[in-house]
Amino acid sequence: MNSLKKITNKKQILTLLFAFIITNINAQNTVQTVAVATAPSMWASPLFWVFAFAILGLLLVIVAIGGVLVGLVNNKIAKQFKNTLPIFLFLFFFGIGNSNAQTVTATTAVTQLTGALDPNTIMIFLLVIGIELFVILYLYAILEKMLIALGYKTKEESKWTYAAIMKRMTKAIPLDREAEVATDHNYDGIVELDNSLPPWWVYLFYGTIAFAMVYLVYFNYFDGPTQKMEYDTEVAQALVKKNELLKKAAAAVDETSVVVLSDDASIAKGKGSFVTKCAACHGQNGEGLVGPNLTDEYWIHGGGIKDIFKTIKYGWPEKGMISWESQIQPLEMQQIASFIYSLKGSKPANAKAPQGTIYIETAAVDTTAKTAISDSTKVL
Amino acid sequence: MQQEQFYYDNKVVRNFAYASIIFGLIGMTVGLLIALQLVFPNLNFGIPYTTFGRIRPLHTNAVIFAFVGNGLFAGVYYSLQRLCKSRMYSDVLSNINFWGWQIIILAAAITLPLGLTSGKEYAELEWPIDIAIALIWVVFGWNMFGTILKRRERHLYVAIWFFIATFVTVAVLHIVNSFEMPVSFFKSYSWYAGVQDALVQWWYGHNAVAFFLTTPYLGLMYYFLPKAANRPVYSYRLSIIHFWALIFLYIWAGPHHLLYTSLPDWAQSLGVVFSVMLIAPSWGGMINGLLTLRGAWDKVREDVILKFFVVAITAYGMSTFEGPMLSLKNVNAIAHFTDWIIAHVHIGALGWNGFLTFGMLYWLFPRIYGKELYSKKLANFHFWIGTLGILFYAIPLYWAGITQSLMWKEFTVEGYLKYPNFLETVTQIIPMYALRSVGGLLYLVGVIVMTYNLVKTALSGKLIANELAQAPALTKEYGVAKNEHWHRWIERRPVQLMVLSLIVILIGGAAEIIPTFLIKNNIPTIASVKPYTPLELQGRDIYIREGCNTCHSQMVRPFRSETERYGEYSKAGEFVYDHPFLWGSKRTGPDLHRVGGKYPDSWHYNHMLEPSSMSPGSIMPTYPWLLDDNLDTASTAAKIRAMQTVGVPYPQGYDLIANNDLMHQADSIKNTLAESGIKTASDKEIVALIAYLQRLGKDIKLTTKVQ
Repeated sequence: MNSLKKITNKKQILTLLFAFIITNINAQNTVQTVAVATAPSMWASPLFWVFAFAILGLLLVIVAIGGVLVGLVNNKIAKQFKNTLPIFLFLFFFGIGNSNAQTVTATTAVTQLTGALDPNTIMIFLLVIGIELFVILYLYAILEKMLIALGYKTKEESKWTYAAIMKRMTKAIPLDREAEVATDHNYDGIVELDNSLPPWWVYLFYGTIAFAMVYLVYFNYFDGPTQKMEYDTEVAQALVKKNELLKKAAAAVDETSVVVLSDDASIAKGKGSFVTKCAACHGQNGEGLVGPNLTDEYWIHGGGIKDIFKTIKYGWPEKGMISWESQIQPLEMQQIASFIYSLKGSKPANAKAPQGTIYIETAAVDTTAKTAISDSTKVL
Repeated sequence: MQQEQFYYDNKVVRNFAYASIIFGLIGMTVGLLIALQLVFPNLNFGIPYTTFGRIRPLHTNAVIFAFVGNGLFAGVYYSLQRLCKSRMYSDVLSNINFWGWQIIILAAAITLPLGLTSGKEYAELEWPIDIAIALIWVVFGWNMFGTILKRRERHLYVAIWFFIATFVTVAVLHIVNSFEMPVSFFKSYSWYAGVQDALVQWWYGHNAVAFFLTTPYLGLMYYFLPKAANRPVYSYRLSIIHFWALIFLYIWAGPHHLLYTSLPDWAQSLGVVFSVMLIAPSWGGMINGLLTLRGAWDKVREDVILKFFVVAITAYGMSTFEGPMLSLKNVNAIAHFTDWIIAHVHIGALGWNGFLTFGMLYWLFPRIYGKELYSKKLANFHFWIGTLGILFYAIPLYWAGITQSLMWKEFTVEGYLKYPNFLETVTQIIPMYALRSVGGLLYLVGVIVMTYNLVKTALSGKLIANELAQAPALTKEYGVAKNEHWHRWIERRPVQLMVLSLIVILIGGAAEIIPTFLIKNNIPTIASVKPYTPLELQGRDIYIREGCNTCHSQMVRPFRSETERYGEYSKAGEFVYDHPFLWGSKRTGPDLHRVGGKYPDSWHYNHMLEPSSMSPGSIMPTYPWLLDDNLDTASTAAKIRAMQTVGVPYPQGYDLIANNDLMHQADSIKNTLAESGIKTASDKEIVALIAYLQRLGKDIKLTTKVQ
């Protein structure tokens, strides 16, 4: 305690705080470089600057309180510690003031305000700010406790103990003073008190109303994304990804390039898929149920590997064969087609009567390829 | 002051209480049955009348309008008399209210399993019953207002404000939503179509929750809780603010049931923000209840009635927080159509309505029978097993809902749906369905124990049918206290209070519904969308009769995971001839809006006969009767005429020749079925249903995807 008393010099504290601020400016620079590198469009958005300054301002406050705490622990700070509070407040409002200043400029360029930042980034910024606020509150609570523990403050003086906060947020009157808020209402023995509205509840209500205003304005008067815009973005992003993948060989198999796979592993995989996906209509062994027999020489839509692949991919909905394009990947489709191809002449039990025409391999290859091409463009 | 003597009518209270218990048992048993059907589809016993699609509405109607409905009448009739210091206005009206309501319930219990339904959720009953409901509701209001007007208490207590708001709002909701065009005595078409029908329906549906399950029960809480706890109500000011805020804001929140649908964006936004603003007014009721227990928490430990109340109010607080969260679009995108919603509503139904009713009944019976409760132990047992039941019910369904939703949305790195087969996402959660049934069973056991306990109590005592009370009559002149709260003014004026609450609740509904009806660009027209053919129309009515919409949605939302799975997302203009709309609210099975042309006719035929033949492992029930029953073509002409009346542009005189077109289309389906080796006559119901299913979502397919 003695050592604490010695260091009463405010200048020292100020120097300490300035040191923190300077270290933070460095931090600021690094943050900005990262932002530039990843998403240059952010620079254009005033909202980005509002967030950036708010985050940095709050960070300053955190570091400042932290510094003071360290100082307290090291017994390096004066007894008249309360005097430093205005500095905290100054710093705090300095942080907020910064962001306010930015908001003003932002509103002048209101059309640019929302466009450049995507909602996820905004959410992340808000999250960071939320965490910072939480840390500030937490540190402040520790600070209060320490001040009480070290004898700078009495418990009664403190406004930030749990009990004090609860009291402020509920405004509840102790049970023994209930008479002060009693009314003369009496309904079948039910009496009513007239306690104040709990402030936390009032703030909650105001908060939701504010949310409602911002939400309505953002989504209905500014360019808050409509559900159609959200959908278009989602699909466009997926398309980019898909095209990248299509460049890879395995995924690029289509009805023009497909060939029969004859290795056992592929056929086995094809059979597995066939049993789960095709057997309901074509039978466990391709003997035909609702759908046609796949083991004979008669084919309705052609029996070459390319034909089979195409039939699986696009289906023949009017005949009852569904399109599997969205459900089965090209490689798996190739395996299934190869398995089906391998069934020719297997003569399973309960085979369904032939449908379609006899298919002769060589003759049809070229024409199949052509129709496949024209069909695929149609679908696309 | 001259004391007047009069008698409270306890008999009507007892009647409603018993009705509530009996229908509670029935409604919950049906609930348990349909829960089990999701695990064991055979439990529909292969007959129409016990099939999920028909008895799920029976469950919801029984629990909402019979169990809770009778419970609220019991509570209102008991508390209103005492808060007004007056017997009910008319015993005749009380009896009409009681017996009329029971006959309506009976009619519902008969018509719903028969498949007579309007197809609108929580408003399934057909038009003659709708009219009966309106009449009986007016009798209730008349009786209530008569009592209020001859009261011996100058001011109306907060419970009565809630009763009044309940009365006017339910009347408005029911009448507006039930506008329908009768085809026959048992069949009608909603006056509204598609998007507009959906908006009106969920304006009704959401506010059925608000004004049938919430406001009257808040009124009951304000009476029975301070009575049971013997503590003053915490804050009069809070009562005022949360009452007016609640009824004003609630009415706007309906569109949150339609987020990411074809409802215009602005209406969806209103649904979101008003739901969020509802947190505080709802919690106002909760904290006013819980803080009333200040200084009585030691009693809560002892008194089982207070335990029930505390859990009820807590459940209310939880579900009124969860509701606004579910109304945020990003949360809704995950939760909508899943079992998460089922869990959410059961927190409200089992926790808030159920437990408040039970607490109230445990409080009422000893008082109207003049005898202590038969067994406190059994009541405690009921409390614990009921609480356990709620947990076992809700937790598995939260789990199931989130699991299934994530499976629906998951893509592989190659950009394919991870679970393209919808069924996979169903079989995954069947164990959760099983666990949920256990929760339901526990809860039901509790109610059975309560029934025994209450009947024993009643048998050991004697009904005090007319309970003597006395109070001075109101004088014409009265002094207004100095500095009285401004709200006291309206508390002396029941009529003004009713009118003001009516105005307050009309604002939100009008602001959402009128623009949706009048402004054309809210529902952009699509030229290729044509009315249903007569056969498709008949098929659609079979779809409605069997309640397919209880498990299958017809609303592809604009998410990539849904357009990949089902096809192009649904457009507002596609539903303009849908009287009623059939978007559904739950996907126990896949969406069907784009099912047209996806499978061959033969697939549908086999699938209806035995779903697991086409989708091994399916939990869809079998519909063998559709293959045997003949289509009722005699109704076609009347149906076409009814549709013309509500604005569907069939040519003049088409009703007379509609059956020709119907037979023609039926024959062609018969022929395609024959090609696949299925022999059926063209006049079977299955043919009409196939025609409808094959038409679904195709009108815009024709223009966008020609094959």
